[in-house]
Amino acid sequence: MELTSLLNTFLGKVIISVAGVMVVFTFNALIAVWLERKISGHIQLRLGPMEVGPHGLLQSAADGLKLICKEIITPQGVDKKLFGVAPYMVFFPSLLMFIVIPFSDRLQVQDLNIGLLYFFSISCIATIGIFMAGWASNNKYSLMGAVRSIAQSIAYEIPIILSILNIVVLTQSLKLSEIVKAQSNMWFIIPQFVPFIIYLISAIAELNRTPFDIPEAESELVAGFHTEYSGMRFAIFFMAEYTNMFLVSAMATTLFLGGWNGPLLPPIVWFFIKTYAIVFIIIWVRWTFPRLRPDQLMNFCWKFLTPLALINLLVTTFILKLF
Amino acid sequence: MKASYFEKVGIGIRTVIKGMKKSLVYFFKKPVTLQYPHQKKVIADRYRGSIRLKIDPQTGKHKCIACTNCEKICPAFAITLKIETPEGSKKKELKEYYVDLGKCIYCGLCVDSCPVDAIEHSNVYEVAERSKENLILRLDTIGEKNV
Ligand code: SF4
Ligand code: SF4
Repeated sequence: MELTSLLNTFLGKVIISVAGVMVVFTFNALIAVWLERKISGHIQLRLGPMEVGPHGLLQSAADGLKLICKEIITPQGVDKKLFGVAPYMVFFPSLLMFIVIPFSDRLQVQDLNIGLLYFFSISCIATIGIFMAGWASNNKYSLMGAVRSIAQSIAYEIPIILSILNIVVLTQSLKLSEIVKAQSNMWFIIPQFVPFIIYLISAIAELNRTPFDIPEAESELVAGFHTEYSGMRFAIFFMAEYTNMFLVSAMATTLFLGGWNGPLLPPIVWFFIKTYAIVFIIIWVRWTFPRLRPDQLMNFCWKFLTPLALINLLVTTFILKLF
Repeated sequence: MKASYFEKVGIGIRTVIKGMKKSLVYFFKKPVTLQYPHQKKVIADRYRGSIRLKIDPQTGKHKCIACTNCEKICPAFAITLKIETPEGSKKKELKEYYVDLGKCIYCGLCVDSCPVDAIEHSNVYEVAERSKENLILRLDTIGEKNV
Protein backbone atom coordinates (compact mmCIF):
# COMPACT_ATOMS: atom_id res chain seq x y z
CA MET A 1 0.00 0.00 0.00
CA GLU A 2 1.26 3.48 -0.70
CA LEU A 3 1.97 5.85 2.13
CA THR A 4 -0.73 8.38 1.28
CA SER A 5 -3.44 5.77 1.00
CA LEU A 6 -2.27 4.24 4.26
CA LEU A 7 -2.64 7.62 5.90
CA ASN A 8 -6.21 7.84 4.71
CA THR A 9 -7.24 4.58 6.30
CA PHE A 10 -8.67 4.51 9.77
CA LEU A 11 -5.63 2.71 11.17
CA GLY A 12 -3.27 5.26 9.64
CA LYS A 13 -5.21 8.07 11.22
CA VAL A 14 -5.13 6.38 14.60
CA ILE A 15 -1.37 5.86 14.43
CA ILE A 16 -0.70 9.46 13.42
CA SER A 17 -3.03 10.80 16.09
CA VAL A 18 -1.43 8.72 18.83
CA ALA A 19 2.04 9.81 17.71
CA GLY A 20 0.98 13.46 17.58
CA VAL A 21 -0.66 13.32 20.98
CA MET A 22 2.41 11.67 22.50
CA VAL A 23 4.64 14.38 21.05
CA VAL A 24 2.51 17.20 22.45
CA PHE A 25 2.23 15.33 25.73
CA THR A 26 5.98 14.82 26.18
CA PHE A 27 6.82 18.31 24.99
CA ASN A 28 4.32 19.78 27.41
CA ALA A 29 5.44 17.68 30.37
CA LEU A 30 9.00 18.92 29.88
CA ILE A 31 8.12 22.55 29.23
CA ALA A 32 5.41 22.93 31.87
CA VAL A 33 7.53 21.50 34.68
CA TRP A 34 10.43 23.71 33.62
CA LEU A 35 8.13 26.75 33.47
CA GLU A 36 6.73 25.96 36.89
CA ARG A 37 10.17 25.81 38.46
CA LYS A 38 11.45 28.87 36.62
CA ILE A 39 8.42 31.03 37.40
CA SER A 40 8.31 29.96 41.04
CA GLY A 41 12.01 30.71 41.26
CA HIS A 42 11.72 34.18 39.82
CA ILE A 43 8.71 35.05 41.97
CA GLN A 44 10.84 34.19 45.00
CA LEU A 45 13.86 36.10 43.62
CA ARG A 46 15.66 32.85 42.84
CA LEU A 47 16.82 31.60 39.46
CA GLY A 48 15.33 28.12 39.37
CA PRO A 49 17.19 25.33 37.56
CA MET A 50 20.26 26.62 35.74
CA GLU A 51 22.72 23.75 35.40
CA VAL A 52 21.30 21.14 33.02
CA GLY A 53 21.17 22.61 29.55
CA PRO A 54 20.80 26.32 28.75
CA HIS A 55 18.91 27.91 31.66
CA GLY A 56 18.10 24.46 32.99
CA LEU A 57 15.91 23.59 30.04
CA LEU A 58 16.82 19.91 30.20
CA GLN A 59 16.31 19.63 33.96
CA SER A 60 12.91 17.95 33.61
CA ALA A 61 14.38 15.41 31.18
CA ALA A 62 17.13 14.62 33.67
CA ASP A 63 14.58 14.26 36.47
CA GLY A 64 12.44 12.00 34.32
CA LEU A 65 15.44 9.81 33.57
CA LYS A 66 16.19 9.56 37.27
CA LEU A 67 12.62 8.50 38.06
CA ILE A 68 12.66 5.85 35.32
CA CYS A 69 15.87 4.38 36.76
CA LYS A 70 14.38 4.06 40.24
CA GLU A 71 13.07 0.81 41.64
CA ILE A 72 9.30 0.50 41.76
CA ILE A 73 8.41 -0.19 45.36
CA THR A 74 5.10 -1.76 46.33
CA PRO A 75 4.63 -1.30 50.09
CA GLN A 76 3.36 -4.10 52.29
CA GLY A 77 -0.37 -4.34 52.88
CA VAL A 78 -1.47 -2.48 49.76
CA ASP A 79 -4.10 -3.77 47.36
CA LYS A 80 -1.57 -4.72 44.70
CA LYS A 81 -3.86 -4.67 41.67
CA LEU A 82 -5.55 -1.38 42.42
CA PHE A 83 -2.24 0.13 43.49
CA GLY A 84 -0.70 -0.73 40.14
CA VAL A 85 -3.67 0.33 38.02
CA ALA A 86 -4.40 3.64 39.72
CA PRO A 87 -1.66 5.73 38.06
CA TYR A 88 -2.88 4.66 34.64
CA MET A 89 -6.46 5.46 35.58
CA VAL A 90 -5.30 9.01 36.23
CA PHE A 91 -3.07 9.13 33.20
CA PHE A 92 -5.15 7.69 30.35
CA PRO A 93 -8.08 10.10 30.67
CA SER A 94 -5.60 12.91 30.07
CA LEU A 95 -4.51 11.26 26.83
CA LEU A 96 -8.11 10.69 25.80
CA MET A 97 -8.98 14.32 26.44
CA PHE A 98 -6.50 15.35 23.76
CA ILE A 99 -8.81 13.88 21.13
CA VAL A 100 -11.20 16.82 20.97
CA ILE A 101 -8.75 19.69 21.45
CA PRO A 102 -8.76 21.85 18.28
CA PHE A 103 -5.09 22.78 17.90
CA SER A 104 -5.80 24.58 14.64
CA ASP A 105 -8.53 24.72 11.99
CA ARG A 106 -7.45 21.36 10.58
CA LEU A 107 -5.48 19.83 13.41
CA GLN A 108 -7.95 18.01 15.58
CA VAL A 109 -8.02 14.28 16.13
CA GLN A 110 -11.77 13.90 16.13
CA ASP A 111 -14.27 16.76 15.91
CA LEU A 112 -17.02 15.20 17.99
CA ASN A 113 -20.52 16.70 18.04
CA ILE A 114 -20.45 16.51 21.79
CA GLY A 115 -16.79 17.51 22.17
CA LEU A 116 -17.39 19.71 25.18
CA LEU A 117 -19.42 17.10 27.01
CA TYR A 118 -16.88 14.42 26.14
CA PHE A 119 -14.01 16.50 27.50
CA PHE A 120 -15.58 17.19 30.86
CA SER A 121 -16.96 13.71 31.38
CA ILE A 122 -13.64 12.04 30.59
CA SER A 123 -11.88 14.41 32.96
CA CYS A 124 -13.96 13.01 35.83
CA ILE A 125 -12.53 9.52 35.37
CA ALA A 126 -9.21 10.73 36.74
CA THR A 127 -10.91 11.31 40.09
CA ILE A 128 -11.71 7.60 40.27
CA GLY A 129 -8.02 6.89 39.70
CA ILE A 130 -7.11 9.23 42.53
CA PHE A 131 -9.57 7.50 44.83
CA MET A 132 -8.22 4.10 43.79
CA ALA A 133 -4.70 5.24 44.63
CA GLY A 134 -5.74 6.57 48.02
CA TRP A 135 -7.82 3.53 48.90
CA ALA A 136 -5.31 0.94 47.72
CA SER A 137 -2.37 2.54 49.54
CA ASN A 138 -3.59 1.31 52.93
CA ASN A 139 -2.43 4.55 54.49
CA LYS A 140 -4.54 7.03 56.40
CA TYR A 141 -2.97 10.05 54.77
CA SER A 142 -3.56 8.68 51.31
CA LEU A 143 -7.16 7.87 52.13
CA MET A 144 -7.77 11.35 53.57
CA GLY A 145 -6.28 12.85 50.43
CA ALA A 146 -8.49 10.74 48.21
CA VAL A 147 -11.64 11.58 50.19
CA ARG A 148 -10.86 15.28 49.99
CA SER A 149 -10.18 14.96 46.30
CA ILE A 150 -13.63 13.47 45.71
CA ALA A 151 -15.35 16.15 47.77
CA GLN A 152 -13.52 18.88 45.93
CA SER A 153 -14.11 17.34 42.55
CA ILE A 154 -17.86 16.99 43.07
CA ALA A 155 -18.14 20.54 44.33
CA TYR A 156 -16.13 22.29 41.66
CA GLU A 157 -17.55 20.29 38.75
CA ILE A 158 -20.73 22.36 39.15
CA PRO A 159 -19.40 25.90 38.67
CA ILE A 160 -17.19 24.66 35.82
CA ILE A 161 -20.17 23.21 33.95
CA LEU A 162 -22.33 26.24 34.72
CA SER A 163 -19.68 28.57 33.39
CA ILE A 164 -19.20 26.69 30.13
CA LEU A 165 -22.96 26.46 29.69
CA ASN A 166 -22.86 30.19 28.95
CA ILE A 167 -20.70 29.43 25.93
CA VAL A 168 -23.01 26.66 24.83
CA VAL A 169 -25.98 28.97 25.11
CA LEU A 170 -24.19 31.60 23.05
CA THR A 171 -23.03 29.28 20.26
CA GLN A 172 -25.82 26.71 20.53
CA SER A 173 -23.30 23.97 19.92
CA LEU A 174 -21.20 21.48 21.83
CA LYS A 175 -18.84 21.09 18.91
CA LEU A 176 -15.51 22.68 19.75
CA SER A 177 -14.62 23.67 16.19
CA GLU A 178 -17.88 25.61 15.90
CA ILE A 179 -17.29 27.30 19.22
CA VAL A 180 -13.90 28.47 17.96
CA LYS A 181 -15.35 29.63 14.64
CA ALA A 182 -18.01 31.63 16.48
CA GLN A 183 -15.23 33.64 18.10
CA SER A 184 -13.59 34.87 14.90
CA ASN A 185 -15.00 38.37 15.50
CA MET A 186 -14.99 38.61 19.24
CA TRP A 187 -13.46 36.36 21.86
CA PHE A 188 -15.95 35.14 24.41
CA ILE A 189 -13.81 36.46 27.23
CA ILE A 190 -15.23 39.94 26.53
CA PRO A 191 -18.94 39.23 26.96
CA GLN A 192 -18.29 36.34 29.34
CA PHE A 193 -15.55 37.60 31.62
CA VAL A 194 -17.13 36.38 34.86
CA PRO A 195 -17.58 32.80 33.60
CA PHE A 196 -13.97 32.89 32.47
CA ILE A 197 -12.82 33.70 36.00
CA ILE A 198 -15.16 31.07 37.45
CA TYR A 199 -13.84 28.53 34.98
CA LEU A 200 -10.23 29.36 35.85
CA ILE A 201 -10.79 29.12 39.60
CA SER A 202 -12.72 25.86 39.34
CA ALA A 203 -10.17 24.46 36.91
CA ILE A 204 -7.36 25.12 39.37
CA ALA A 205 -9.45 23.37 42.00
CA GLU A 206 -10.05 20.42 39.67
CA LEU A 207 -6.32 20.22 39.06
CA ASN A 208 -5.68 19.93 42.80
CA ARG A 209 -3.19 22.74 42.64
CA THR A 210 -2.41 25.33 45.29
CA PRO A 211 -4.40 27.18 46.66
CA PHE A 212 -6.84 24.28 46.28
CA ASP A 213 -4.37 21.45 46.88
CA ILE A 214 -5.97 19.98 49.99
CA PRO A 215 -5.88 16.43 48.52
CA GLU A 216 -2.09 16.53 48.54
CA ALA A 217 -1.44 19.09 51.24
CA GLU A 218 2.19 18.46 52.11
CA SER A 219 2.07 19.86 55.61
CA GLU A 220 -0.90 17.75 56.72
CA LEU A 221 -1.06 14.70 54.45
CA VAL A 222 2.57 14.10 53.44
CA ALA A 223 1.69 13.91 49.73
CA GLY A 224 -1.96 12.86 49.90
CA PHE A 225 -3.05 10.13 47.55
CA HIS A 226 0.41 9.52 46.07
CA THR A 227 2.29 9.29 49.38
CA GLU A 228 3.14 5.60 48.82
CA TYR A 229 4.11 5.92 45.18
CA SER A 230 7.65 6.10 43.93
CA GLY A 231 9.66 5.81 40.75
CA MET A 232 7.85 5.66 37.45
CA ARG A 233 4.40 5.33 39.02
CA PHE A 234 4.91 8.60 40.81
CA ALA A 235 6.22 10.12 37.60
CA ILE A 236 2.99 9.13 35.87
CA PHE A 237 0.91 10.94 38.49
CA PHE A 238 3.19 13.91 38.16
CA MET A 239 3.01 14.00 34.37
CA ALA A 240 -0.75 13.56 34.43
CA GLU A 241 -1.00 16.61 36.65
CA TYR A 242 0.94 18.77 34.22
CA THR A 243 -0.89 17.33 31.22
CA ASN A 244 -4.18 18.19 32.87
CA MET A 245 -2.90 21.68 33.45
CA PHE A 246 -2.20 21.98 29.73
CA LEU A 247 -5.59 20.52 28.83
CA VAL A 248 -7.49 22.82 31.12
CA SER A 249 -5.62 25.79 29.67
CA ALA A 250 -6.24 24.54 26.15
CA MET A 251 -9.95 24.31 26.93
CA ALA A 252 -9.94 27.82 28.37
CA THR A 253 -8.26 28.99 25.18
CA THR A 254 -10.84 27.24 23.03
CA LEU A 255 -13.85 28.44 24.97
CA PHE A 256 -12.89 31.96 25.97
CA LEU A 257 -9.81 33.15 24.12
CA GLY A 258 -10.83 32.39 20.55
CA GLY A 259 -8.90 29.16 20.15
CA TRP A 260 -6.61 29.29 17.15
CA ASN A 261 -8.04 32.57 15.88
CA GLY A 262 -5.44 35.27 15.50
CA PRO A 263 -3.77 37.52 12.96
CA LEU A 264 -0.48 36.97 11.11
CA LEU A 265 0.92 33.92 12.90
CA PRO A 266 -0.26 30.42 11.93
CA PRO A 267 -3.25 29.16 13.95
CA ILE A 268 -1.32 26.51 15.86
CA VAL A 269 1.17 29.09 17.12
CA TRP A 270 -1.68 31.26 18.35
CA PHE A 271 -3.17 28.27 20.07
CA PHE A 272 0.02 27.46 21.96
CA ILE A 273 0.70 31.10 22.87
CA LYS A 274 -2.74 31.48 24.41
CA THR A 275 -2.59 28.12 26.14
CA TYR A 276 0.75 28.82 27.74
CA ALA A 277 -0.46 32.25 28.79
CA ILE A 278 -3.17 30.48 30.80
CA VAL A 279 -0.59 27.99 32.11
CA PHE A 280 1.43 30.99 33.27
CA ILE A 281 -1.58 32.39 35.13
CA ILE A 282 -2.21 29.05 36.83
CA ILE A 283 1.41 28.82 37.96
CA TRP A 284 1.37 32.47 39.04
CA VAL A 285 -1.69 31.82 41.20
CA ARG A 286 -0.02 28.82 42.78
CA TRP A 287 3.01 30.77 43.90
CA THR A 288 0.98 33.66 45.24
CA PHE A 289 -1.62 32.14 47.54
CA PRO A 290 -1.45 29.83 50.54
CA ARG A 291 -3.61 26.74 50.80
CA LEU A 292 -7.26 27.01 51.84
CA ARG A 293 -8.77 24.94 54.63
CA PRO A 294 -11.21 22.25 53.42
CA ASP A 295 -14.20 24.06 54.95
CA GLN A 296 -13.18 27.36 53.36
CA LEU A 297 -12.86 25.54 50.08
CA MET A 298 -16.38 24.16 50.28
CA ASN A 299 -17.79 27.49 51.45
CA PHE A 300 -16.13 29.25 48.57
CA CYS A 301 -17.59 26.85 46.04
CA TRP A 302 -21.14 26.48 47.35
CA LYS A 303 -21.69 29.94 48.74
CA PHE A 304 -19.91 32.03 46.15
CA LEU A 305 -18.93 30.36 42.88
CA THR A 306 -22.05 28.29 42.28
CA PRO A 307 -24.58 31.10 42.92
CA LEU A 308 -22.49 33.49 40.87
CA ALA A 309 -22.32 31.04 37.97
CA LEU A 310 -26.07 30.43 38.18
CA ILE A 311 -26.90 34.13 38.17
CA ASN A 312 -24.56 34.65 35.28
CA LEU A 313 -26.19 31.87 33.30
CA LEU A 314 -29.62 33.37 33.95
CA VAL A 315 -28.49 36.81 32.81
CA THR A 316 -26.91 35.40 29.66
CA THR A 317 -29.99 33.46 28.63
CA PHE A 318 -32.23 36.40 29.49
CA ILE A 319 -30.22 38.82 27.37
CA LEU A 320 -30.03 36.32 24.53
CA LYS A 321 -33.79 35.86 24.58
CA LEU A 322 -34.37 39.60 24.67
CA PHE A 323 -32.33 40.47 21.58
CA MET B 1 -19.17 44.12 63.75
CA LYS B 2 -19.18 41.15 61.44
CA ALA B 3 -18.68 41.86 57.77
CA SER B 4 -21.63 41.02 55.56
CA TYR B 5 -21.47 38.52 52.71
CA PHE B 6 -20.92 41.15 50.04
CA GLU B 7 -18.32 42.98 52.10
CA LYS B 8 -16.44 39.72 52.47
CA VAL B 9 -16.58 39.14 48.71
CA GLY B 10 -15.23 42.64 48.13
CA ILE B 11 -12.38 42.11 50.58
CA GLY B 12 -11.62 38.79 48.92
CA ILE B 13 -11.42 40.22 45.41
CA ARG B 14 -9.31 43.14 46.57
CA THR B 15 -6.78 40.98 48.39
CA VAL B 16 -6.55 38.51 45.51
CA ILE B 17 -5.66 41.32 43.12
CA LYS B 18 -3.21 42.77 45.62
CA GLY B 19 -1.45 39.44 46.08
CA MET B 20 -1.24 38.70 42.39
CA LYS B 21 0.19 42.15 41.74
CA LYS B 22 2.84 41.68 44.40
CA SER B 23 4.07 38.36 43.05
CA LEU B 24 4.12 39.73 39.49
CA VAL B 25 6.27 42.64 40.61
CA TYR B 26 8.67 40.21 42.24
CA PHE B 27 8.65 38.04 39.12
CA PHE B 28 10.23 40.88 37.17
CA LYS B 29 12.75 41.85 39.84
CA LYS B 30 16.34 40.78 39.53
CA PRO B 31 17.02 37.46 41.31
CA VAL B 32 19.45 37.60 44.20
CA THR B 33 20.78 34.07 43.75
CA LEU B 34 24.55 33.76 43.43
CA GLN B 35 25.49 30.70 41.40
CA TYR B 36 28.26 29.70 43.72
CA PRO B 37 30.86 27.69 41.85
CA HIS B 38 30.51 29.94 38.80
CA GLN B 39 30.09 33.25 40.57
CA LYS B 40 31.79 34.12 43.81
CA LYS B 41 31.02 36.70 46.37
CA VAL B 42 33.53 39.49 46.94
CA ILE B 43 35.07 38.81 50.35
CA ALA B 44 35.51 41.70 52.77
CA ASP B 45 39.10 42.67 53.61
CA ARG B 46 38.75 41.88 57.28
CA TYR B 47 37.05 38.53 56.71
CA ARG B 48 38.39 35.91 59.11
CA GLY B 49 39.46 33.12 56.78
CA SER B 50 42.07 30.47 57.47
CA ILE B 51 45.11 31.91 59.22
CA ARG B 52 48.53 32.31 57.59
CA LEU B 53 51.94 33.67 58.43
CA LYS B 54 52.65 37.09 56.99
CA ILE B 55 55.57 37.33 54.63
CA ASP B 56 57.95 40.20 55.27
CA PRO B 57 58.44 41.89 51.88
CA GLN B 58 62.04 42.86 52.69
CA THR B 59 63.38 39.49 53.77
CA GLY B 60 60.87 37.31 51.98
CA LYS B 61 60.47 35.29 55.17
CA HIS B 62 57.94 35.11 57.97
CA LYS B 63 58.39 37.27 61.06
CA CYS B 64 57.58 34.72 63.74
CA ILE B 65 59.89 34.82 66.79
CA ALA B 66 58.62 31.56 68.23
CA CYS B 67 57.20 33.11 71.38
CA THR B 68 54.38 30.48 71.47
CA ASN B 69 51.81 33.08 72.51
CA CYS B 70 49.47 31.92 69.78
CA GLU B 71 49.81 28.27 70.73
CA LYS B 72 48.99 29.07 74.35
CA ILE B 73 46.02 31.31 73.71
CA CYS B 74 44.31 29.19 71.11
CA PRO B 75 41.05 28.03 72.76
CA ALA B 76 40.67 25.13 70.35
CA PHE B 77 44.25 23.84 70.58
CA ALA B 78 44.50 24.17 66.84
CA ILE B 79 48.07 25.47 66.69
CA THR B 80 51.10 23.21 67.14
CA LEU B 81 54.61 24.64 67.04
CA LYS B 82 57.94 22.83 66.73
CA ILE B 83 60.66 25.01 68.18
CA GLU B 84 64.39 24.48 68.39
CA THR B 85 67.14 26.37 70.13
CA PRO B 86 70.33 26.06 68.06
CA GLU B 87 73.65 25.24 69.83
CA GLY B 88 75.39 28.25 71.35
CA SER B 89 72.44 30.58 70.98
CA LYS B 90 69.69 31.66 73.32
CA LYS B 91 67.28 32.61 70.59
CA LYS B 92 64.53 30.12 69.86
CA GLU B 93 63.75 29.37 66.23
CA LEU B 94 60.58 28.25 64.62
CA LYS B 95 60.97 24.94 62.79
CA GLU B 96 57.42 23.94 61.95
CA TYR B 97 54.12 25.76 62.38
CA TYR B 98 50.95 23.69 62.06
CA VAL B 99 47.36 24.83 62.25
CA ASP B 100 44.51 22.31 62.21
CA LEU B 101 41.60 23.91 60.34
CA GLY B 102 39.38 21.11 61.58
CA LYS B 103 39.78 22.46 65.09
CA CYS B 104 40.16 26.18 64.43
CA ILE B 105 37.07 28.21 65.30
CA TYR B 106 38.30 31.34 63.49
CA CYS B 107 38.19 33.36 66.69
CA GLY B 108 41.17 35.51 65.85
CA LEU B 109 42.81 35.34 69.29
CA CYS B 110 46.09 34.11 67.83
CA VAL B 111 46.24 37.06 65.46
CA ASP B 112 45.57 39.50 68.31
CA SER B 113 48.06 37.95 70.67
CA CYS B 114 51.06 37.90 68.36
CA PRO B 115 53.63 40.46 69.63
CA VAL B 116 55.26 40.96 66.23
CA ASP B 117 52.14 40.82 64.11
CA ALA B 118 53.36 37.72 62.29
CA ILE B 119 50.05 36.00 61.55
CA GLU B 120 46.85 37.16 59.93
CA HIS B 121 43.57 35.93 58.57
CA SER B 122 43.46 35.28 54.85
CA ASN B 123 40.37 35.49 52.66
CA VAL B 124 40.41 31.77 51.95
CA TYR B 125 37.09 30.20 52.92
CA GLU B 126 36.99 27.15 50.66
CA VAL B 127 38.86 24.85 53.01
CA ALA B 128 36.83 21.64 52.58
CA GLU B 129 39.00 18.55 52.17
CA ARG B 130 38.46 14.86 51.55
CA SER B 131 40.41 13.69 54.59
CA LYS B 132 40.99 15.06 58.07
CA GLU B 133 44.77 15.01 57.68
CA ASN B 134 44.60 17.46 54.79
CA LEU B 135 43.04 20.03 57.11
CA ILE B 136 46.30 20.35 59.01
CA LEU B 137 48.26 23.07 57.24
CA ARG B 138 51.94 23.77 57.62
CA LEU B 139 52.32 27.54 57.55
CA ASP B 140 56.05 28.18 57.77
CA THR B 141 56.94 26.75 54.37
CA ILE B 142 56.06 29.20 51.67
CA GLY B 143 54.07 28.14 48.66
CA GLU B 144 51.69 25.90 50.53
CA LYS B 145 47.96 25.90 49.98
CA ASN B 146 47.31 28.64 52.47
CA VAL B 147 49.40 31.35 50.77
S1 SF4 C 1 41.77 31.65 65.09
FE1 SF4 C 1 41.41 31.05 67.21
S2 SF4 C 1 41.01 28.85 67.06
FE2 SF4 C 1 41.95 29.43 65.14
S3 SF4 C 1 44.10 29.05 65.43
FE3 SF4 C 1 43.79 31.19 65.98
S4 SF4 C 1 43.41 31.17 68.19
FE4 SF4 C 1 43.20 29.06 67.46
S1 SF4 D 1 52.45 34.63 68.58
FE1 SF4 D 1 53.40 35.34 66.65
S2 SF4 D 1 55.56 35.36 67.10
FE2 SF4 D 1 54.67 34.19 68.74
S3 SF4 D 1 54.78 32.07 68.02
FE3 SF4 D 1 52.80 32.81 67.36
S4 SF4 D 1 53.13 33.58 65.29
FE4 SF4 D 1 55.15 33.36 66.25
